[in-house]
Amino acid sequence: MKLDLTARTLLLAAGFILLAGALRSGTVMGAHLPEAFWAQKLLWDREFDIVIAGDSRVYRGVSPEAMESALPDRRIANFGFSACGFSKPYLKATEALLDHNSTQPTIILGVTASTLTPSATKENGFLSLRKLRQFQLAQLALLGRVSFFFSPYDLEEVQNLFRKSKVGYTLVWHTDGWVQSRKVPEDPTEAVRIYRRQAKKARWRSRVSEPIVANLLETVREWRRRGILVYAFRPPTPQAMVEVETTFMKFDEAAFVQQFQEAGGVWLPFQAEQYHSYDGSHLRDDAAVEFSTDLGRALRRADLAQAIR
Amino acid sequence: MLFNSFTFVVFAILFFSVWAMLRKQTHRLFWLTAMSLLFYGWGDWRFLFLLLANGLVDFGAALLIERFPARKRLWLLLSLSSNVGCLAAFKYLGFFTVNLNAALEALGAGHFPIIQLVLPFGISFYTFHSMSYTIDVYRGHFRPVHSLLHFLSFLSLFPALVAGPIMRGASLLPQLVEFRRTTEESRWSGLKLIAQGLFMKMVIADNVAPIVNEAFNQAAPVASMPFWWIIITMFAMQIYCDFCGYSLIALGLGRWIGLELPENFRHPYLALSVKEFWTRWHISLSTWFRDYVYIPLGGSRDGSAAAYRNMWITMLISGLWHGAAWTFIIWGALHAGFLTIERLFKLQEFLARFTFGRVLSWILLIVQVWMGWVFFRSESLSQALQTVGIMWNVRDWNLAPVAELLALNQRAIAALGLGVLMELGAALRVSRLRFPRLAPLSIPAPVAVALVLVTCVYWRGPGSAFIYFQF
Repeated sequence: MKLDLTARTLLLAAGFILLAGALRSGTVMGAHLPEAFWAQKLLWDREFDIVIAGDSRVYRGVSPEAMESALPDRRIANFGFSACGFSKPYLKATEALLDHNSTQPTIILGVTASTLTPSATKENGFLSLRKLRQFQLAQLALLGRVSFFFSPYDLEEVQNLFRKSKVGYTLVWHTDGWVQSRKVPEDPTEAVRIYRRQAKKARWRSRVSEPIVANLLETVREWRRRGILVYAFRPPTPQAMVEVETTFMKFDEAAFVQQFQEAGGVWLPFQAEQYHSYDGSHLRDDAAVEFSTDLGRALRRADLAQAIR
Repeated sequence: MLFNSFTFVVFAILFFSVWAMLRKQTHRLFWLTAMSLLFYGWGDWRFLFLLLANGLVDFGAALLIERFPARKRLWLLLSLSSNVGCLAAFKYLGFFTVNLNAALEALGAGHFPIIQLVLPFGISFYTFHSMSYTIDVYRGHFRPVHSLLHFLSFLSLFPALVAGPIMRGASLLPQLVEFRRTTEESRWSGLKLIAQGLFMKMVIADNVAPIVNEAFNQAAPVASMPFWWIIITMFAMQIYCDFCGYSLIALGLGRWIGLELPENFRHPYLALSVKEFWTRWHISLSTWFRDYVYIPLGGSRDGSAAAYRNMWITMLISGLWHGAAWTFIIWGALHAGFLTIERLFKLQEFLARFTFGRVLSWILLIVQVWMGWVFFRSESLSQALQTVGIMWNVRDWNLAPVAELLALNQRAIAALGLGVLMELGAALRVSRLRFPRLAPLSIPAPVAVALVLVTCVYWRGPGSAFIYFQF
């Protein structure tokens, strides 16, 4: 059968489209995050011993697999979402992932200034997905890979096809919830600039809110009453960012730590400068692995201390 | 359902696979109608009832006009009231109540509750399809169709259902009686139109849209004259590529079915006067208003004063047709004002005699149309006035927002550049229909079209609905 010009052209286009999709490396995607990864987080039907909650510094900075090297036999999930604040629904969903029959059900909170602000508790990656119905989430989880294949290229991606060493974000999505990431070239002040601009623009919405802190502490007390171990840490970030968070976003870490400990939580301190950030906010993948291992060790020590007590 | 969606790709594959197998006319009509209704009902099946109810009234009214010609005015009124009534209820009720309440408040009286119904997409388009049918039957331009299936296939024809081109019974109904066999040439020309339409929508309009939206979503407009001229140029390109893109896809799909739909755009930004602009922009709507509003009002038959009055009425209604807001009415009024000045002073006719004069005419046209777009796009009248104020305030020569715009939005700037190049190509008389040949690059046409389609997939902007769906 001889195909006419239109059919031949459509077949040629289909071939080109498949080729362009296949040319794309599975790890370089710029801003186009695979919807399947996020949908899958909301659809987890497994239960865990340890659930880590927080925003992008958590989902990029904490690798459950690396933590497990220090905490063997513990099932760990990274439940971080983009720009995610500690809202009631989010804290409830975090708890729902815990196996309450576990010997030590544990929640770890990655506390950044942003997680305690009105803007991050009203609109975030978690809440926007939670609005979807169950079948829509399932559809995303199922078709997300397909839609990623057909998602638009960005300028850097096209350029990368012709470069020896890649420029831009390299992102790998792990099934345990970690997004392994790095950026070339690095820009240590990028996030600081963005945060400062946003904080000036959104003012009170970008400042730490007392009611949100109060709600979080109340939830921590409730978790403790139910026998859940609650830990928190400040995801390591450069000093310039800490200053923005203190000055513009009004995050008083010392005061928060005191309140958190009074509520029954255990604060895990880290030396931020030890871990390398590629944009002034997020940890580069190798630093994230290092930090996660340290987090696992710190948790083991803290668990032992609690057991002795 | 959107032409630029994966769902539509599946829909089209299903539709054309079955269509190619059907030979009998009735089967084809049935398949076309059923799939058109599926296409429309995909977003919200409840709106199908409105479409069908409107259609049934018009179908019945046309038959009654034929059967009882002595009372044909009554049947026409019945049809028009049903159509205009639906439009009024779904599109204008909220706007009317808000303004009535404002007037009552000024008089110290009470107020009515504001009811804002959900706007069925494409209502303005299919209502106009339907109205033209009964009016033309009333005028005796053609006899009404006696088959409901035939009428519904005309009313619901999926390529043009939700955003035009606005169809006329006289041209479309005969084509639906006997579908022409498509030829290799018609299918190929259809594919070229579809590829070009998708490119305009997905690559140009959708890449520019986020920047325009962000600029208009600011609480206070950015105080920079050059910034706003760039933004409005972007919006001008966005709305043109969005709407013309839709129309081209509709024309291309029509050719694949064996139908010839009317051309809706003819490079409007290459016009040299506002009058000429309206012979090139949304042609099916402007001719609709000419035939069913301007001429019935008397056109230019009763002297120049009446002609001006009729033109103003037509343009104001056209503005209101686009949306229930004062910004749209002012947009219509602005164009009426520009047309009035053109007719009174005939400056463009004078300028057209010289090459430099034609360039000046073109610049004048662009400035006028751009001013109109400010009102068309603004969220409120005060935002539009502030924006116009900044655009003409030479002291607001702040280049920092422009630098930021250019630095952070290379993709949108590239899309804008492509749009400008495309129109420049047309201005240099590179025929739109020959574009994929790309003769200077010696790329075979099928490869060029395939590459255009690949670009639509992998260089598309954050996709959104077509702007004209909301009208």
